[in-house]
Order: sequence, then structure tokens, then C-alpha cells
Amino acid sequence: MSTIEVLDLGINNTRSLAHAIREASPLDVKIVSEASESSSAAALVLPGTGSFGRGVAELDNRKFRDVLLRAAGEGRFILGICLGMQLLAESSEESLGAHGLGIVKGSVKRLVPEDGWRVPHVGWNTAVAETSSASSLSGADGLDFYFSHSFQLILDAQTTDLTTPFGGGFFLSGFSQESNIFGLQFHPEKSSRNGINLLRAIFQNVA
Amino acid sequence: MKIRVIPTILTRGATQVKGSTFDNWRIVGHTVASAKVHSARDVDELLVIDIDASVNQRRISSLLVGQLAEFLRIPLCAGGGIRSEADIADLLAAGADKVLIGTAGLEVDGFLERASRTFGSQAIVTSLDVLGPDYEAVYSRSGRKKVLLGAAEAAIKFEEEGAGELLVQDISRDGLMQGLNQDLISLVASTVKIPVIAGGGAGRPGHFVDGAKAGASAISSGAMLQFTHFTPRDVKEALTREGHDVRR
Repeated sequence: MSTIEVLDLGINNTRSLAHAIREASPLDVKIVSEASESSSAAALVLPGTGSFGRGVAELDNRKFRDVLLRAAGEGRFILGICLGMQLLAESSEESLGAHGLGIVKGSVKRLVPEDGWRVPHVGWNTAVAETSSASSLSGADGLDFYFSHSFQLILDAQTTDLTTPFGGGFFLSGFSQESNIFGLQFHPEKSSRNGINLLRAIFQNVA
Repeated sequence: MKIRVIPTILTRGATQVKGSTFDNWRIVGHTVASAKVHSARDVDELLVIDIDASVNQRRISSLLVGQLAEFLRIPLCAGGGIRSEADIADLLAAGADKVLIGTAGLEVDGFLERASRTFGSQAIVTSLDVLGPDYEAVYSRSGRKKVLLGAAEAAIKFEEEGAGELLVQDISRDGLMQGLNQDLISLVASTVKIPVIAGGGAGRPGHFVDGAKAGASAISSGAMLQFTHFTPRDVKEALTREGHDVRR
């Protein structure tokens, strides 16, 4: 049977995420803490909290970089969540000099507390789907999810699927690229039934 | 931003307790059972604090946190007796999303800075337990030890050291359900840029509105959501009526 592997960077709550994915998908869900435990899973999930630099260091310590780049090269399914989504990009203002995975073209910038909004952006906020979006993320349109972050991913290309209001504007809260690379800035595993439903939609296409 | 409604469960080990003014504790139930009720009511987040862990040099149980994480699909913040990065790593691995740090944030030099650098600000909530007419004193060790810092000074210190959120409580109002200290909340919320969680004293939905008006991003409540007929839904309806956005 196909497996979904949750990559554990040792700095985040992988257990809740595994529980939530098991609720959303019939596939086998495994938490792996280094590359040697990983074995060509159908889907890789990269969660993460903490700083970009620490995340990059853990990717390298645990040799996950190759695992992820190989999976991306083979067109396998990858979902980055929160810091995990940011790590898919090339660099971050948070940790200059730290090299992200570069699986998507873009960089990570600080959220600016404006218009009465506070940073970190912690709590529930709404995902808004781009009208052109046909990805499995579009079902999240108008629903509330739990966020917990101080930085935002800015993509070079227009692969935006979900945005979320903040400080008078919007930031990218979800994207899909070439139907196998997904990123979510919010935590579906902490977003009650909205999150479980979205995970179900996302993993539906993983066989 | 949507105003969060956060039930607080005070615990001793896995036993749920209720007190007033950080004292007069009595056993009222089982923490896991109580968390299940809150989860079924689909609250925005849950805060679980082991009230005398710090005083007794224990720590909130990671076994308890693990049990809660199995069924909770909302954020969980765990507090009580957290003194080291190893404590935090352990609780996050067990399934907590963030930890509440009180005593160690005031007593252990550099701890908050190290913790927020390692785990990220979003994982670190600090507790500001305040007493006195001019909020001139904050307390550690569950309100037993006076620290020579005013509420505003302590709030700035916590923010500078990397806290992601601040839980503000007026000890003299804790558990009495007579209302929050709006003045204190507004002092702290206008002093920092990080989100403020207001706790200590909510007794009816209107008190949550008071907290939101004073600038809190979230309001936590133990007694009211546990022992009165008011539900989180009642609270959200009250907040909506007064023009505050809540999670749908």
C-alpha cells in the first residue's frame, strides 16, 4: 500500500499532524526522523515550526534535502505546511544565507504589523481562493483556518491558489504547482473539520 | 483578526481543579474528559495549565498532553513548570503546539530568548500574572513570588525576548467570574505588538466583549465555560453582535 511520510525535523508537533492525516486519508501514515527511514513514499509531508535557519539545518542534518529533491524530480507528491511550505522556497529574510530547497521559486519575507494587525499572526483567519484556481485547494474558499507565523512566502510565478487578509492586504496562504507540489501556510491539522476536509481533498489524488 | 475563545483547564496531574485568586483549589473533574467536552463544542483553542507544577518542581505531564493531542484537532497550549528547552521539546513532541511559560521567563536569565530562537516565537506564550492597584508587580510561581517588574515593563521584556503571545491575568479576579480587568488588558495590549490573551475573571459573554474592546486578541476562561450554562457559541454571538469578527 502507498505510504504518506511525515518528515520530522525534531522541532515541531508531528504527532498531531499524523493523527489528522490518518483521519483524512486511508493510506498508511509514517513519521520518519531521518532519510534512512524514508523509502520512496507516494507522498511526503514537510511540517515545521520555528525559524527558517533551524529548519534548513535540520533538513541537512537529517539528510531530508535529497529525499525531497528526488521526490520532486520524480513528480511525487509533496505538501509543505507552515515553515515547511516556506522551506520549499529558496531563501528567507528570517535567516539570511540559509538555503531552502528551491522546489518553488520564491522567497520568504517578514509580515509587517499594520492596521492594528499583530505579529506573530496567530489565530483563525479566512482563506480566499483565486477564481481561476482549479486545484484541490479551491474547496477551502471562504473557510477559516488556524495560522501561527511571522513570515510569508512570496512566489515569483503566479501559482497562488489561496490568499488571506492581513494588514490591509493579502498574503499567500496556499498554493499548488504542477499538481504535485502543495504548500499551506496555515495548520490544517489544527483547523478542526475545515482542516481535515482540506487534507482529504489534497490526499485524494495520492494513490 | 478573529477574536479567539479559549477554555482553560487547570489541572494537577490529570485531575481538573478549580480555584479562586490562584488559591482555594478543589477537585472538579478529569482533565481529559473536560477537554473532550470543549473539543465537541469546537472551541478555537485549548489551554491546559498544571497549577502547582512550578511550585512543586514538577512539570505538566507529557503523557497527559499526548492523550489530549490524540483527539484535539485545534491548537493546544500546555503550561506548568516548564524550565528548560528539553521540557519544551518534550511537550511539543507529545502534541502541544505551544507552551505557556511563567516562572522561568521571570527567573531564568536568557531562557525565553533561547526558547524562542529554538522553537520559534509562535510556540512560546508567556504568562503575566499581575496584582496590585497600579499593576506594579507581576508574580511567578503561581502567584506566590513577587517580581520587581511592573506589568508594562514585564510585557516589553517578554516581547523583546521573543514571546509570541502574552497571557495577562489579574490574580485578584481569577476564578471569581466578576469580569476581566479591562484597564490592565488595555495597558498591556497597547504596550506590545504581539497578540494578548486576556484571562482571569470572565463570568458571562459580555465580559469577553470587554476583553476584545480592551485590545485582547483572545479571551481565556476556566470557570465560566465549565460551570455555567454559557457556551462558546453564546460568547461568539455576543462578540459578533458587538462588531467583533469570530471564527465561523
